[in-house]
Amino acid sequence: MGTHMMMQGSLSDAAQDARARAIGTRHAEILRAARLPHAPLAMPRQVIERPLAEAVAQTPFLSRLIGVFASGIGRTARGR
Amino acid sequence: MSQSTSPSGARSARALALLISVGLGIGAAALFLQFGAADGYQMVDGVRAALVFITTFWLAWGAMQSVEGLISARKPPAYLNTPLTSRTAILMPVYNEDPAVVFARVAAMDVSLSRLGVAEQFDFAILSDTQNDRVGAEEERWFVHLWSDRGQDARVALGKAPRFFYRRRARNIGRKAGNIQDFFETSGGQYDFALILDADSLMEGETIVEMVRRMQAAPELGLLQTLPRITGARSRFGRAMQFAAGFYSPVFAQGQAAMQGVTGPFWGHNAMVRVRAFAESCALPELSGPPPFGGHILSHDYVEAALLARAGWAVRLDPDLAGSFEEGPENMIDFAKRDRRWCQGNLQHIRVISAPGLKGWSRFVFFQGILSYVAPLFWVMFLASNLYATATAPEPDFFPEPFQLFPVFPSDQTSKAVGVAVGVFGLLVFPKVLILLDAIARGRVAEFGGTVTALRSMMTELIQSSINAPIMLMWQTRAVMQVVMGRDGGWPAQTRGDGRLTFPEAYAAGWWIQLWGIVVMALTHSFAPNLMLWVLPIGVPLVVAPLVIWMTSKPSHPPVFLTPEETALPQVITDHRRIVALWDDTSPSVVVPNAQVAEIPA
Repeated sequence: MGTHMMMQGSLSDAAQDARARAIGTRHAEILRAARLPHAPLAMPRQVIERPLAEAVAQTPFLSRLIGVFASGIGRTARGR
Repeated sequence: MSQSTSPSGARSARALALLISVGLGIGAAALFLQFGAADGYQMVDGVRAALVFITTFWLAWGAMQSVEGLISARKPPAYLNTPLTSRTAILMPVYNEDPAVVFARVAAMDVSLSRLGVAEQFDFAILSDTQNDRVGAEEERWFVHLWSDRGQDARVALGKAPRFFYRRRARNIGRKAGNIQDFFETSGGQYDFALILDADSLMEGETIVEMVRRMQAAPELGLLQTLPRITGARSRFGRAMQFAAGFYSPVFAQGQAAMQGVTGPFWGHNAMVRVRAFAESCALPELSGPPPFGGHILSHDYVEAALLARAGWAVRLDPDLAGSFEEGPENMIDFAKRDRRWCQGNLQHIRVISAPGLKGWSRFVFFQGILSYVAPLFWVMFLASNLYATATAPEPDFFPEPFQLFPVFPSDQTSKAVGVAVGVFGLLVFPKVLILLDAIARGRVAEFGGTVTALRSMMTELIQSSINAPIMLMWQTRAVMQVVMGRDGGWPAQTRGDGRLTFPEAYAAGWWIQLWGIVVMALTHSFAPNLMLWVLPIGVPLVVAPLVIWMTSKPSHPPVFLTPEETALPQVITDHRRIVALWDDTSPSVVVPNAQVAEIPA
């Protein structure tokens, strides 16, 4: 009876192994089929960093505004 | 498309909001100066007046968004009926999420599109950045389940290309922005549009189709953002936020849309982009230097919106697009965690604000984002400067002249300080009252349980948010200080679930806030006892912070905070819940060749 149970156990293990392998193969097939489609698109890297001083210098209105503000402080400081 | 997006309309709206906000700021500062300098002008009075100007301006600017939203034309949605002539990829980026719940959202959206008979025009791509291998293995198993569920085997057997894709990156370079960029660089050429989602996003098929139609109809449109409604909240904190997002946000968003015109926002999800426009303009570099100010751009969405506008593309927010949903944080700790990340992201924009060629409004949006996180510091400074000014105020001199017969009493300017305080409180409450009145007038209030229930919800939300505000202020202040001191907050995964906290958890998160509350109250009591009444609304919530954090994470039930989505569950959410329940009964490991898996009916 013990031998019979052991045989049943190993048959069951073998069936489970086969089932696990089948599931593994199936998963791998699906994941392969579900890979992203190959249709590449170039994405040029953008320039987003620029020192603030340079930005101010290249923006005439802002540059003038800061200039007027700075000279105003200067005049006030000199007591005029 | 209900709102005006003309440049002149947007300019007028901005000018009006700016004029009124600056005017109110100057008025409040002038009034406060009369109060503060009643006993003689000192430097600290000037500092206090400047802080009053900044904080009042900021509150007024927020209030003006609601006013603009109420006065700008709001026509009922006019959905288009043009044929779909384009291909759209629906992108679901995931990062250490529960795959069963997230993939069920994908299934629900596909069901919704299938009902309209347009599913063939749409593909779904699950873009995993999951770094945990165990979660990654779960994702693969649940993807197989989704695949079978949506009948992809039969499609492939017929020689058709599948409509569901799954990709997991070994290294999550560039985080979400890098994840999306990787998709565009691999597969972007196959699509006209891409709908970018978050793992908690859900959108009705009808909304997705309408977005495609609007993109097709406006070739200059680079990005179309919807206003997602928060759904699924269960806690007091979560449901209060859900109510606020449903009741107030549409009006604020309308105002925002009116002010920004075609230089609109991108909130990172529930938005559709034109693939070519995005690819041409939105590849983000790493910022020079180490985090938190250098490295990957955390709040990439704002930068991408600015770059699209720089390249001449229109970026538009259409608040009239219904059927767009997301989930929100369920407790204050999760909110603070998310806010920590957003804080770092927004402060990092200091590095981007001077980027070449940006539109002026885009720079202003960066400034606005930075200010929104720096503003709490101004409130803290205002509180500290008032304590200092009161503690160091000179004693009143009733006999300033020698041999004076009658005393001279100092001019009492307290009414002016009260006036400023009432004005500030009014700026917080006024927009909400206006929105309630508007909702009553338009009948929108019925969706929120009627006038009485909506009023009750509004009052409860007002009280709850007033108690929460000082605690949030402390978290935000800490977050700003951490970023300034160079501490990187990293990229923690979002916490989902019911969010209920135990008291020890709440205490662990809030003890230091409580300590600050005790310190503030003690300092006020010792050095400026006549300010105690003013400090109580801030001090008391701080002292009981752990209790507040714990209590607000407890479950909440209607009718208070009732939202339209709770009254009548949207179809796509119903589908999602049904699919999750169905999948709960079906272990993914039983998906074997030729197995009969229940197909979800469209």
